[in-house]
Amino acid sequence: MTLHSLSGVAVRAVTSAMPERRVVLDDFAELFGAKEVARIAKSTGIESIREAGSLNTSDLVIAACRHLLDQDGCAAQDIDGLIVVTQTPDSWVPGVGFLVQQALGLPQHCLILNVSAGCSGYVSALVQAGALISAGACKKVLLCTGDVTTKLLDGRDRHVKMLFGDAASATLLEAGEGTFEFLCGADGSGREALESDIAYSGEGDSHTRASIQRLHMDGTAVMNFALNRVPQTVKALLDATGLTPASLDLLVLHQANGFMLNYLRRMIGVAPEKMPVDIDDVGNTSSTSIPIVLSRHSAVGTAQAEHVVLCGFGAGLSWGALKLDLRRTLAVPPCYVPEKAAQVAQADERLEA
Amino acid sequence: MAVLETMRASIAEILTLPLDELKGDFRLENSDYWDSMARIGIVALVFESTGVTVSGEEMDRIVTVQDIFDLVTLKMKESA
Repeated sequence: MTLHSLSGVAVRAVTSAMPERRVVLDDFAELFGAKEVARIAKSTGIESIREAGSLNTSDLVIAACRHLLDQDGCAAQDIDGLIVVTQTPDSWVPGVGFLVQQALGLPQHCLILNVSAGCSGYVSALVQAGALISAGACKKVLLCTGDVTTKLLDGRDRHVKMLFGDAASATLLEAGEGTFEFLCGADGSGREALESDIAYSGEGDSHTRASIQRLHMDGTAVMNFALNRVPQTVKALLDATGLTPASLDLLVLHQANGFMLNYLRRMIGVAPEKMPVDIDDVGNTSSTSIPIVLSRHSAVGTAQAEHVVLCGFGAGLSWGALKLDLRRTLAVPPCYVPEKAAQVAQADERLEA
Repeated sequence: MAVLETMRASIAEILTLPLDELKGDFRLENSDYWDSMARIGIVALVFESTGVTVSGEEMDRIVTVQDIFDLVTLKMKESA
């Protein structure tokens, strides 16, 4: 793997958005039995997840963006680049980015990129956003991630039902003094380890010509991939940038599950306080898991976030590790999004008031 | 082997079994907890102990606890 760098780029602010609806251990226990549910939760570190229900990916992404712009004060008109990473778009055509552009009132000259990527997507999209700014193509890029993965799950499979959750994030990047240093890789031969096929149908009169299949995960293959690739990639990035597990401030891995993260932490040799496991109350949220950690971590925006390494890994198979400085980044704690019926009721209440 | 003895406790924990019930001829299919999560646990345990990965096909061939020990022994020889 070759170290690459992008200079003149800064992460100005980051936040996340989660559905209000929580699915907790008692809910899972009704489906799968209390003893079994307790065993799974102990291993994964996930006692509750967030479920979108009637919300779509765009609802969560737009909520995250509005929350970010409200708290940061950046004007929507100043944003000239929008990247939306999702594997659960609202519609096949066009991409979620165009819904977001309209909802936020982003200018028509804004470059919009719709990216299909999973758990490594935040890191690869940071590279895309950083490249646009570093090259002078954009001044301010809004990077969004979001998924409603729970809609793709087999409800009878307790392992995936208790693992994945729904959420979105928004990250604002602009020109600055920072440098992104990163390593990325992919191995398409492992694409069947994590996949959701499309079944096209050319027959019949129905308007349905294709259906999206349940998310399939080969746990053994994914675990092997993570054990092999993640420590190797993180260590290579640390070596190439003159850091050590002791000298870095924060290592944020994709929040796959607590069991895997604890193994990876021991293999990398980093102290627990420098590598957060922040997955409870939301679940594995694919490309949104890293920005959720950043939005909830007290070190972001302080002197303790000078040497931060992010590492995403997952579907593809693909992986990427990126070092950046988050000392001047505004971390905005998550907002919580009510379901659509509740939103209408709240709007009615406001009107009546 | 010390590694195998250390692993016994971890395997018992993965299978939610008392350590003294973890015999070599214990058939994993008789455990309620021999599922995809337990398989991942074994994969991780072997990798941490030997630095070698276990494929899905190798996991499919595991029938008893002794098979796990045999696999670890084989992997340790491979990695030596």
